[in-house]
Amino acid sequence: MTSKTLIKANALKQGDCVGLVAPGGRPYKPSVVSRAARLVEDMGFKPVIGEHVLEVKGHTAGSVAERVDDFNKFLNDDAISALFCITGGFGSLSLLPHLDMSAIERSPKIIVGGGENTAVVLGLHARTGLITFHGPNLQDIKSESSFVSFKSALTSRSSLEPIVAATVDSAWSESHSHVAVEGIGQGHLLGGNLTGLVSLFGTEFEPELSGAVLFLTDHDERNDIIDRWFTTLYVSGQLEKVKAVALGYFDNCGNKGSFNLLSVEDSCAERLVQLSLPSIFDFPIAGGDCPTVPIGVSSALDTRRRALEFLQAALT
Amino acid sequence: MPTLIKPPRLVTGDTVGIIAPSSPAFEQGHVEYSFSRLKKLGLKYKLGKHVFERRGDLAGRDEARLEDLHAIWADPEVKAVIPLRGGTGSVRLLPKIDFDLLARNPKILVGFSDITGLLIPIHQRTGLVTFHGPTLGNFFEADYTYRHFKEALFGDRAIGAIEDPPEPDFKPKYPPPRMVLRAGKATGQLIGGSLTLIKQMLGTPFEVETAGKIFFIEDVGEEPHSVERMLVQLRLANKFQNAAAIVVGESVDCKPGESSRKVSQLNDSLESVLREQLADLNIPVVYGLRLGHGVEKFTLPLGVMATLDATNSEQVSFSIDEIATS
Repeated sequence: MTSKTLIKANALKQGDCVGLVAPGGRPYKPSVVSRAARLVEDMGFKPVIGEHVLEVKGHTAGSVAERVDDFNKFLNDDAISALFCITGGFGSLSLLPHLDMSAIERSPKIIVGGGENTAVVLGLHARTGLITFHGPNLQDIKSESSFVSFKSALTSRSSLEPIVAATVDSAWSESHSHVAVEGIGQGHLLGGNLTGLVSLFGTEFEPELSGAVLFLTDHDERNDIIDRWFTTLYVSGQLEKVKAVALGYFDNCGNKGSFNLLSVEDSCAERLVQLSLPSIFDFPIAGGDCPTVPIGVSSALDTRRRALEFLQAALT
Repeated sequence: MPTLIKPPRLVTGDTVGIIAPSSPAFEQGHVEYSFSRLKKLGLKYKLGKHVFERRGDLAGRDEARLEDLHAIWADPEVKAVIPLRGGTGSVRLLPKIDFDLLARNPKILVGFSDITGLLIPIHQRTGLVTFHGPTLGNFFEADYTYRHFKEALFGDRAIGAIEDPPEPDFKPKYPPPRMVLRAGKATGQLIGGSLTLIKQMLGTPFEVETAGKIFFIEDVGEEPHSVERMLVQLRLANKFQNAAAIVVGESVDCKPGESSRKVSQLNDSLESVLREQLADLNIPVVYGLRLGHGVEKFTLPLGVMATLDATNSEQVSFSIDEIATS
């Protein structure tokens, strides 16, 4: 996989039109869509809802063709400046071979998604070089901080403010970032949902992990499954080519009643230590209420300072 | 792909080596019972040093499980290596397996589920025929399973046509054992195993090679949407398009809402996912053969020639045409 030249989209301005898509799962009720549209209005943009987002086909928002149609129409519409995902679910991977890469290269737009849509966000970046964004699907924006971060990441022409983990060294503080290996790693930022990332392995959409600062999250998954996909990263030889790893929050993951399972920390830390990779757990970059971050920009993770710095602007 | 190596077949009085490359055994009593069943087969056994170790859901640390694999494999007395069970953890061992040691000492390896993480890489790296079949804890679970296990490991001729286990007259099991998703006939070497494991190895130096082969998959406890994502990834990696045929085994508990992972209830059936992802390929596709996590399963040797004839959906035949052992 050769790295593509980076393509940057234009920063969003007040009043810009944004296409709302559901590449995987269907929004489970219409008000999820109307709330998503309201959020976009509150950010100062004009939401345009994809034609098929409330279609029902099994667990997805319509057939592959319908979901592709929504996505490609927006990619080819000059009036649309960005595509936001309404919800995650399952099924986004099926869209990748049908998405209009040349439209992205011709007229780059902001594309944001997380969870299941990580596959789309990373796959499109890998194929086109577009700086895409890992951030919440609109349904998952549930706090003001998440809302503010989403909006500022997409409107800013300069490099984003660093992400710094709380350094309260008190047993009472709720979030404890835990350093596995101290150090600094610098490279292009890649990551998102671990299941989504690994679902690109062996395909033409696999992102270039060599030299990357990698961040990982997952949700609603049993620990042994997370270990499976982390093992893929390790066995593929990709993990050793990475410069640093930030593990985010793994919401609602755990042993799911199989009490003997190793923790995510147990199963990942030994390999991070073995590879001497600067790495940190419970870092507030993904999962939970985390910020929106650009994929592909130059960045530096310093586990001593518990900080990730963005060294490059993501938008023009 | 190295030249095919066939391991010597088992004969009464042989010694088998027991290892735990993935998860630990559930109960000591069950393991002891398994040993008594081995004796009934006329086999002696040796245990790896670490088989009863535990580290979370792994049977000891990677180093311990790997040490047992190498030690048992290098033991000239051991004629077959039989894991206690699957579970999780085999793929963690792959970067440090000494494949040359394995190739120099050809012997039977049999297992399924997580053991797919050893069967496919060892077969592809060394050329050795490995066996997708029950582990130590399963080989005596059903008469059907036991007979096929014995036939594959002790037999002195090609396994030949696979028959299905007897069907009850009422309330037959779903899926039927040979549902034709796409008609056709194909001959090729066998390759395959657990879908989750095959997916787990994509993008690694151990990923499955399927071109020209009869590619079989099965899974357990995965909801259809999760199976779909794995199938889509395999398609994007061109693993189905160049295969000679696809055999999807009975996949136990792969129903919406039945995942042990307790994700939300979703509605697609496995059959509809399979039809959508596989039926448009230009090769025969059959679903339901008893080769996976059901108690009834036959044993398939990876690397040997087989024929799937699904031209007539009323009478689908599947045969293993070549002897798997030497």
